[in-house]
Amino acid sequence: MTVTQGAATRQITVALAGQPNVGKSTVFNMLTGLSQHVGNWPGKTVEQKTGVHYARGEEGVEIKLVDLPGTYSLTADSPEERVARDFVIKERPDLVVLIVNVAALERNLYLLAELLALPAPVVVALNMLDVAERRGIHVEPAVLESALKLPVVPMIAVKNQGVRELVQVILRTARDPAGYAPSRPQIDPEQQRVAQELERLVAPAVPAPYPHDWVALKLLEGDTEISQMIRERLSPSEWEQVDALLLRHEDAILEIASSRYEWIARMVRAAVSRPRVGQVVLTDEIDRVATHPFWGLLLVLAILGAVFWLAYAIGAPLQGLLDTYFVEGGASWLHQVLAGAPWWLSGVLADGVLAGAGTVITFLPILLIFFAVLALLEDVGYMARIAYVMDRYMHLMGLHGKSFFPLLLGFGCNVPAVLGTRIIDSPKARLLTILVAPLVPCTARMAVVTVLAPIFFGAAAFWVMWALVGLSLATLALTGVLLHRFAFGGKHAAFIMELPLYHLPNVRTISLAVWQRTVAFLKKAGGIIVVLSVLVWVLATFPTREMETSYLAAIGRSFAPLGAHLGLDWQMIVALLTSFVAKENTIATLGILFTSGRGGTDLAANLAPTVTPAAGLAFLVVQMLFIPCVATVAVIRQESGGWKWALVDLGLLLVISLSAGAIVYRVGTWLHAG
Amino acid sequence: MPARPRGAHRRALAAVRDPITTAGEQGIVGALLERLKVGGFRTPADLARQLGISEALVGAIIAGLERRGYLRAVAASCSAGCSGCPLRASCVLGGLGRGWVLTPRGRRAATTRPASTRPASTD
Repeated sequence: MTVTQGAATRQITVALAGQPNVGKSTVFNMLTGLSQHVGNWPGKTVEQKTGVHYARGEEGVEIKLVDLPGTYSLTADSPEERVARDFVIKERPDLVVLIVNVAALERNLYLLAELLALPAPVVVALNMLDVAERRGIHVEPAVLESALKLPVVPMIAVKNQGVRELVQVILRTARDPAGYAPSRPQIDPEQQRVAQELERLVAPAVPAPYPHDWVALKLLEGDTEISQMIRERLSPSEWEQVDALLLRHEDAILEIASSRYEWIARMVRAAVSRPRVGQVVLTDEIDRVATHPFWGLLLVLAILGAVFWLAYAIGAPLQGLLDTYFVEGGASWLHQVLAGAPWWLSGVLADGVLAGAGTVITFLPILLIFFAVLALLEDVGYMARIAYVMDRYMHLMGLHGKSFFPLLLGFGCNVPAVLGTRIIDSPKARLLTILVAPLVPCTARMAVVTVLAPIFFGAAAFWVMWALVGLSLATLALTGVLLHRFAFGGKHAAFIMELPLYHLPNVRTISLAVWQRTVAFLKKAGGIIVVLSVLVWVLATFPTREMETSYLAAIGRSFAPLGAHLGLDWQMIVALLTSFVAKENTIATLGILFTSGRGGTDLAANLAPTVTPAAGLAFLVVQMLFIPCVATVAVIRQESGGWKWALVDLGLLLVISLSAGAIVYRVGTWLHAG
Repeated sequence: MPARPRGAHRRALAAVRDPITTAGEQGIVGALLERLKVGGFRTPADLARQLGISEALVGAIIAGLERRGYLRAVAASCSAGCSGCPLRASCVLGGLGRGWVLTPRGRRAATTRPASTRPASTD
């Protein structure tokens, strides 16, 4: 140890090391007060802070403190890490004080494992003991000190607890450097042998003051800066030898890291206890059910059922009220106000925009329920469990947790579901996920079904909705299995996911999420749906002002053979077709076609008598499984790399939805007749 | 320097000497990667239970593997992949936890790395 001996004062140089956010600056500021000097590290843009501390009762001793940049490790991954290790190696401080956040002890001790390989004694300051205790982490500093065989100082820097003790330990350790013999992680004999071989090969090229064994270790770890330094100093043939050895032990870092983590595990096992309390216990208890293969699935289904029940019992009646007062009331008011205006103006506003886009806006109570439940499940931490539970079932179709992520998004909207497949590495698994993503019922589809099911089936609507979602998911699974078995193949990928702790919902967070989604929905209703409503009204009105002889009727009737298989007349087929622009348009179109010129503006009253139960169910089945909206098709084209797979998917979904609809209609009619 | 330990303190220190038996011959990191060889969902808690180490240490190992390019963090929110998406407000991914997948390097290490014949390390 080199202790600068001045005429009257003795200077001890101490480097403060630590990971970011461990309270290092707090300790530095407390020790140095106003004597700080702030600059940059030579040749770097990294900030350098130095200062001086004079210990009380220690006349003639000056502790020079150097605040090293916060780093997670000491590999040359960032300028901060290079600055930190270069200082310890080249400037040889008398002491390194490692500030550790006890609440994240394992991560912090990795930095200690690396520091112990450098030529400077280390003192560990266990900071944030209060935070750790609050999280149920109890550390025995004395045991850790014995285990590490180096000085350990417990402290709570923000409360100025332990700072004076730290100074005393710094002075004591600096006075007796010979007594420093810490426990160090030992790398396994095989890696030890390789490291020694490397050390022998590179020794002539290692510049002072780098320790030879440290350089060999860093080469094995794949450290780019050290590799470059040695390469420049060796002849090409010598480097070739080193390089060949390194190539044979490419993953040596895993062994080296293992020895460090096992060392940490043993230290923590001795000195840390984590009695499971509070949120952790609660999370464990809930997860016993929520992540159970059977009960977990049952819970997912129960929650889904509760959402439908809420949508049906609360959302649908509110939707009906909005329809009566907002759409019907608004239409008659518009007709009155615009009595003197040209016929087409009141027509396009009342029978087009209001009957179309206005009806879509009446979805809002139903959507608010969906949005609120999704936001609530997210906020309490349950959403991740759904992915965890469903993973077991995704195996069957060759999709794994990672594929479920994007599919889960599909319940919100199919567009982010398709974009979300970017997280899947395997191109085949990704394509498979993209192709089945539109079979996940999005909120828009669900809202359409929630509005129409009560019109067609009255009190039985709840069970119909349940069956429709079940059908969608079963079709998704079946399609996935078939595609996986016959079209794809390939290996399954592993996926690690943290399950967040459960916590009480935050009203503000949920309100914000619901608000954002509501604004997005209203923008959509006010944009693309208004445009399409106007277009549908124009096509349904011209050229004769009679719907039955309109352009739209002509278009719809050209699909008559298709309609016959499903038991649907041309209006229903047109409603289905317009859902290609946006799913909500089904309602917008039905709103226009079944309210204008029918002697009354109540969609439900006008629509119900025209559709048989079998045809109604067939319509809902096709609606659920139909081709996705144009926005989803656009991202499928973009994400699958061209039109080929987008068209294959459209064809596949058309066949699936229309076949399912036709089967339901035939069976339904047969049962009804029977 | 630390004083000589006594009593409960000494008993606690016995834990320092015992090796981490679950790590096996390939080391704790290799053992963790080994468990990612087969597809499927794992949580840090699952891995911690299987390896007999703390969840916090599994977190530290995952962070290390990510820094070294063996694991890749996947977007835990839609902000990364969907910045241009007009529907991101209706995205539900925000409530999911953080996730990681093996990179090609990680996959290679998990499937082809030969286990070394090392004993568990002691000081």
